[in-house]
Formats: sequence, C-alpha cells, structure tokens
Amino acid sequence: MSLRGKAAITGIGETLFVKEGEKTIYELAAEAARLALQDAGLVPRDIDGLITLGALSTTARMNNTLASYLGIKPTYSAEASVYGASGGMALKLAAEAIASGTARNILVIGADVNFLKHPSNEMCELAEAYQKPFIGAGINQHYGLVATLYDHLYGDSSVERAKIAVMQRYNASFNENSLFGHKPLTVDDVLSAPVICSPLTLFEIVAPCDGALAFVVSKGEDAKAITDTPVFIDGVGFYSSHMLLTDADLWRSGLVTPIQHSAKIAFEMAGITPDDVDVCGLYDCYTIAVILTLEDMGFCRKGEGVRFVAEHDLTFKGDLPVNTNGGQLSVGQPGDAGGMVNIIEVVRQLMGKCGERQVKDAEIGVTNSNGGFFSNECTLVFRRGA
Amino acid sequence: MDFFNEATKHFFAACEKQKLWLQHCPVCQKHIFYLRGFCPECLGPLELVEATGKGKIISYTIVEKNPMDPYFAQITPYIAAIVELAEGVFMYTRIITDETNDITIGQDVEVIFVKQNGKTVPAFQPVYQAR
Repeated sequence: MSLRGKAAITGIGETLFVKEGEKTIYELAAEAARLALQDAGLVPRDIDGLITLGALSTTARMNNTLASYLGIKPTYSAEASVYGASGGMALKLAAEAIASGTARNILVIGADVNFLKHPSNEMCELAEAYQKPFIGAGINQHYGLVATLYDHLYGDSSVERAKIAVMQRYNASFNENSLFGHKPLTVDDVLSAPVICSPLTLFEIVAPCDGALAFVVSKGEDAKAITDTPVFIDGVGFYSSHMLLTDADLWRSGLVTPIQHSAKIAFEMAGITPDDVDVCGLYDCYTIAVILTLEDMGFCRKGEGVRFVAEHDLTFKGDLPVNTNGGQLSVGQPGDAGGMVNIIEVVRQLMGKCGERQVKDAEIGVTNSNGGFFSNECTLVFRRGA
Repeated sequence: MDFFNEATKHFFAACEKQKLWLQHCPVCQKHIFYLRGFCPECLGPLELVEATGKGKIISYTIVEKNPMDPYFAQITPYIAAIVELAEGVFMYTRIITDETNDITIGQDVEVIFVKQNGKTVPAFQPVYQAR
C-alpha cells in the first residue's frame, strides 16, 4: 500500500544537546514532547498514539512510562527497536498506523543520555557470544572494516571522508544547538587526528550526548488545519539484511548496503528520483556511512561516492545540501535517537524554519537512518506541504 | 556468553581443545556459522564439523583505542578482521602477527588458538607462501 500523503508531520521539538547534563532521559523526552506539541498547537488529549525508540541507557519500554507521564491514553503504542534506524522506523510506524486508521495524532519521541556514561544492563547475547570474544565489544571496529575494504576496492577515500566532516562542521557553525558548531574543523585537522580504528580518525566518529527529539505525526487530511507548515510523509522503506557484520551481504556485493533496498522502496512510493531531492538527512555515525548512503540511494554509482563528494558542495549553500544542522558528527548522537538528528533538520528545512541555514525553495527531502553496522536501514521521503 | 544457545556452549568447549567447529546442513550442503539450532534455510538438523582452519582476510582494521571493552582496551593496538573460511563462512577474528604493516585484504590465514581473559578463542595468523 502506498502511504503517500496519508500522514504529515505537524510539530517538531528538540532539547539542548549536551555532552553530559543533569536531566534524566524522562525529563529530556518529556521536554521534547512538550516542544513538539506546542509547535503543532496541540495538547496531550489530542494525541492518541505514542511511539518511542529503544534507548541505549535504559531497558525500560519508554512508551509505557511516557504515556503516563504525559497524560496520554493511546489507542496505539509501540517502541521502535532497530538501533540507529529506529528514528526512521518510528516515523514509518506512525505513518502506517495513521494510514490504517488506528490513530489520528501520534507523538514520536526519541531520547537518550550519553550511553558511555550511563550504560544500561542491556546485552545483545549474539554479539556477546560471537563478536566480543573475537574482536572486542564496540562499534568502531565495524566501520573501520567497511572503510578499509572501500578504500581497497574503490581507492583512497580519506580526503573526501574528511571533507564530509568539514562541510557538516561548517553547517553546524550556523546551529547553536550542536556540541561542536563553535569549533572550526579543516581537512588537515581530520587527517592528522588520532586514528581510532584504521582508517577512521577521531573526527570521523560521532560523540554520544544527552538529548531528545520529538515529532507530532497527524492524519494527512487534518494536517493543514493543524499547522501552516505541514511536512508530508510521501515514502517509507525499510530493509534489514543481517545482525552481525559477518552475516552481511555487502562483503560479496562490493559494499552494496541494505540502503539500496530501503531507498528503492521509499523513492518508488513517493514517485521521486534522486534528481528531485532538495535536501538530505543522511545517517552519519561515521563519515564512511555518508559515502555509502549517497551511492546506495542512487545519487551516484557504487564506487563513485568519493568523486561525488569531491565534486559537490554538501553544505546548506551547496548543490546537494546534506545534514544542514551539522549532522550527528557535529550535533552529537543521543543514542539510538541519533537518526532523528538527521531527520528533524530535513523536516525543519521543509517547514522553512532553518533561519540563516535555510535551503531556498526546499520542497523534497530524503532521510536515511542506519542501525547496527549497515544492518537495519530506513529511508523516508518528505514533501513540503505549505 | 555461554547461553546464547546450547550449540554455542559446545563451540567454546571445543575451542579449549584447539578445535574450530562449524555446522553443516546435509540437505542444503552449506556450512553455517555462527552456531544455531537448525538450518536457517531448510529448518532441518545441522551436523557439527571441524573446520579446516584455512581462510582469507575479507577486511581488517587496526584498533588503536577501544573504550567499549575493558579487556581489549589493554591490548591495543590489535588487528580486528573478518575472515572467510575455506568452507565459505565468515568470522570475526583477531589477526596475530608481528608484521602489522604487511596485512592485506585477500591474504591467506590459518587458525590458531589464543588464551584471553581465561578463555580460549580462535584467532588467525598469516600464511606466507614459499616463493
């Protein structure tokens, strides 16, 4: 079933992103929810659906607590649990629930506190058994493995990977709500920074933070009565091909990720091609992820991502604006809500609320959220409603 | 980690005896790793088989820092890799070598067993062909 236009985002909210703050995950989540409701001009009794994101710092099913905390009595309640793809997935679930008639206004909330400082007792038994004893716990190794093979197959990507971090940092210099926007970054800075997992250096890797983001998703036909700046959800696509990176198809396909599938589903539903896209929010846990996403979404062919980045300006002033708030690399990564950092900015662009960094006449935006190690991918296509 | 499933318990017990076990589906004629309760294609029973221990490097990364793992944080730098075994399955592993700079994608490797944190686990070392 095509969901095109069946649901629209009518309100957005984000808290301050801080490296380590005093607020609990519930205080952050509730604050983002309040801001999104106020943005939509709605109150809790208008909300009949709630979707939260599985957090890294707690094992609580937050949809239950937050419904109570916010005074919502939902006819739809769910938690998206596909790691970093959860932000996209939660909005996909919201659009599906609204299209099916099970809810009319759904609050989607992602929140986390810095998981390095607040680890949960969450455990993934499969990774405990088959990753941790072999290469150690952690995520960085995986993206190092992918980047090493990328360079081997398609040539040195180090300068262009650095350029991604630098262009996003430039964008972040126009975004006060970013951890690193006040710190200028050059390609040389990235290249000369300490290597964490070769070939990736410190500035190619996200920093975890505290923060929360929220969206109100409403029935498409109600959207224009609720707000002057609705943003319609025109396409949604999800695809998952593995859990552990050892089971990934990408090793045998020249690094084609599941994004190729999720993007195809979403673009076809929306009836668009990459040429139609005015602004992108591409999951940027690591610089290499942006290159693979550009390729697998179809902005260029496989293996041409480096040349594409060299030849294009990805800042908000450029020919293909990507992560115009600075992305997670500059804003910070609030756990598995990190994907929402990329998404909220695209929605804000299409609402025309980006101030100095507004992309002129932005009408179509696409986002991708990546969970695990190119394990779960969720692509969304948005259209300006005003 | 012993209780992902029963087969995994046996896998690590075999490592203590310097044996690398995989599974094989006699119907699909495919090797399976990690170890499961049944074949993910035909749902039939799997047999345990000992791996040849030969493989090649699919990709690698030199881990300079690992703040996520207290044990591995102490042994940096180390080489984390994915190897494809001769049987066609992929495995995370460390590459043990004194010649870190000589590691390449596609390089032949063979299994060795290393003791870490009181537990024996497989690792791989380069096989250099005589010239």
